Amino acid sequence: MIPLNYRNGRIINPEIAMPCLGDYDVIVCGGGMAGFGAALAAARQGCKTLLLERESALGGLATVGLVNIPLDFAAGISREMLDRLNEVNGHWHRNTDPEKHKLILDRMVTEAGVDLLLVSHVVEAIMQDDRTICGVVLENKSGRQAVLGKRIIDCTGDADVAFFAGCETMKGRPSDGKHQACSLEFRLGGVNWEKYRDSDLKKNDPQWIKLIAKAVDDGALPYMIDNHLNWLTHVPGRPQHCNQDEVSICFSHSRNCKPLCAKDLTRMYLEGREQADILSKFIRGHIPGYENSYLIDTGSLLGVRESRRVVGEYILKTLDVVRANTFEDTITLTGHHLDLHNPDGPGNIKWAELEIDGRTCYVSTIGKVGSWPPPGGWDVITDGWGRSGDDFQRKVLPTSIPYRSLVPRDVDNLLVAGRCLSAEFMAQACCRLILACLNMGQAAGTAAALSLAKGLTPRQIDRKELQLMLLEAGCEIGQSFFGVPGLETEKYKFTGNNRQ
Amino acid sequence: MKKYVIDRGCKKCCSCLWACPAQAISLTRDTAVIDQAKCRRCGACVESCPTEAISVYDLPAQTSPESENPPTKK
Ligand SMILES: Cc1cc2nc3c(=O)[nH]c(=O)nc-3n(C[C@H](O)[C@H](O)[C@H](O)COP(=O)(O)OP(=O)(O)OC[C@H]3O[C@@H](n4cnc5c(N)ncnc54)[C@H](O)[C@@H]3O)c2cc1C
Ligand code: SF4
Ligand code: SF4
Repeated sequence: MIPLNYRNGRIINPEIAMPCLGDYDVIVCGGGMAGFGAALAAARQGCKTLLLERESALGGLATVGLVNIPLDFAAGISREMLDRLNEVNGHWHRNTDPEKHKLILDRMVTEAGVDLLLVSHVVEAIMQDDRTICGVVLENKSGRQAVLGKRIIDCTGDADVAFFAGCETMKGRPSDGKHQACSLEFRLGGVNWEKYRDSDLKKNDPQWIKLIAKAVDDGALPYMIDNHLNWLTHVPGRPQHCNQDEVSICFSHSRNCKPLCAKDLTRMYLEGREQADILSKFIRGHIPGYENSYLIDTGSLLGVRESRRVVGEYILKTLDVVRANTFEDTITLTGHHLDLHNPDGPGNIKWAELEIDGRTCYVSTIGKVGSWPPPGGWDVITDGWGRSGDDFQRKVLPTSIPYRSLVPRDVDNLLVAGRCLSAEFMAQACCRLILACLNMGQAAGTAAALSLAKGLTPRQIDRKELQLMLLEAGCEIGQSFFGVPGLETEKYKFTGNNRQ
Repeated sequence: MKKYVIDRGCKKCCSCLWACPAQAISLTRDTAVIDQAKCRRCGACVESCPTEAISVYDLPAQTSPESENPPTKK
């Protein structure tokens, strides 16, 4: 109960005493893939760990958001998670069953002894002083409460905790502040997967583009939701060969998004559900194998690809991505390419504008791909060294993510992991894959434990000690591709083939 | 003898490129492609492809996988 005190359009909240839930070694905020990895890693190192998640299940976008395609390097906890999913027929060729995935995550955190609080929204940071975080405030059915922690790991995807703690953050594209397009995933049942898989349409991008353009002309699609439909993926564990396959689809898109504004999030949920309705009818009417399909559900978490990113000790640069630069303190790799879902129009953009040797270049890691060419057309595309035409070299090595990108510059005892890492806008567009987020989480959880054991802040720990712990846990931190400086022992020597 | 071919609508996600122990897969503008001379026919790429874009064909015994003979679908 608070008395009404209304001043200048604001309700004043009087000083209130909150119950304190306890004192933890590590509090992980946000239970998406990054938060899952962080909590599991910290608890396995013996830390008393609390995991706070505002939804009713773990996994974030990868489960609640129906993004069921866990791509990137499966090593360490990522590998273990996929193996556990395999045991319950919940994973095949990098597609998961979101329900089984939730259950496996529940089991793995419970087995590790993590304290889990679902349906709990982190709303404030508690600071010992300007530079030192020591707890968070959360709200749930039991009201507003506080909890204290020696290390806090922000895995909210939106860098909420870092923002509350006063860290400098970055948002959107530098030129106009616009964010990547958001998507509400949906699932269709009653599909004849093999008919679709073997159809000519599946093989043929130009056919898709024509089909969609025609549907817009005919009115079957009221507007160009996206100019290509490329991700229809096969959910495992359903009855096969009897037209009862299930397919997960990323086709809906909201543009000009404000993913940190509740009003615009509401707009996007409504728009996403309208689009799922339109698109499921379009798919049923036009795509082989989907003649008897029906809409099962839409994600209950909107697919936000990028929102707020923290400013860390190092900001991963787009140039680092396109040149596959390596770091002494690499904690994981990602194999994704520059991949931007167009902020303000249909399609995607797979090149970045960069200054190279004083010249403006339009850089791609793969070549002339994506929906839209740069200004000047496809021929101006260069590689990370400004080479074009016959000299263009495709990038063949993965991107390294340094530990410093998980350490916020402005606040101590705080780490971040997942899609809110410290990276430039286009660099983040390459670091967001599900297993990359999980792997960053494992590194952050391990770093929190190491820093506690050594009595140092996360900023001060020895990167080699952290990297050794990650190697012991089976992680891929670059040893298979580049070696790890100072750690090329017999056990972890460069192999070049220990890839996934 | 099996032949692995990417012919069912590759989305260029690169998952198979990292999965291939022989580094036999590379990307072209429209699709990833398998270099048949390097392929060790281990099947790792098929497992890694989220869109099931990689087909496995049974070739008659003695056929070189590099041959252009129309393969028989498995
Ligand atoms: C439409 C779409 C398609 C994609 N396709 C692919 C793909 O094919 N393959 C792939 O590998 N990746 C894909 N990605 C990327 C990938 O899904 C995400 O980047 C990744 O899952 C992010 O993980 P995360 O843990 O960093 O964040 P999230 O999954 O966003 O997790 C953050 C968690 O924190 C919780 N949270 C947020 N704020 C608070 C708070 N204040 N208090 C408490 N809890 C909070 C959220 O509920 C959520 O569970 C896609 C993303 C989108 C949006
Ligand atoms: S079958 Fe094995 S060796 Fe051949 S391309 Fe696929 S992953 Fe590479
Ligand atoms: S994994 Fe499949 S979709 Fe991805 S690049 Fe390879 S063949 Fe193409």
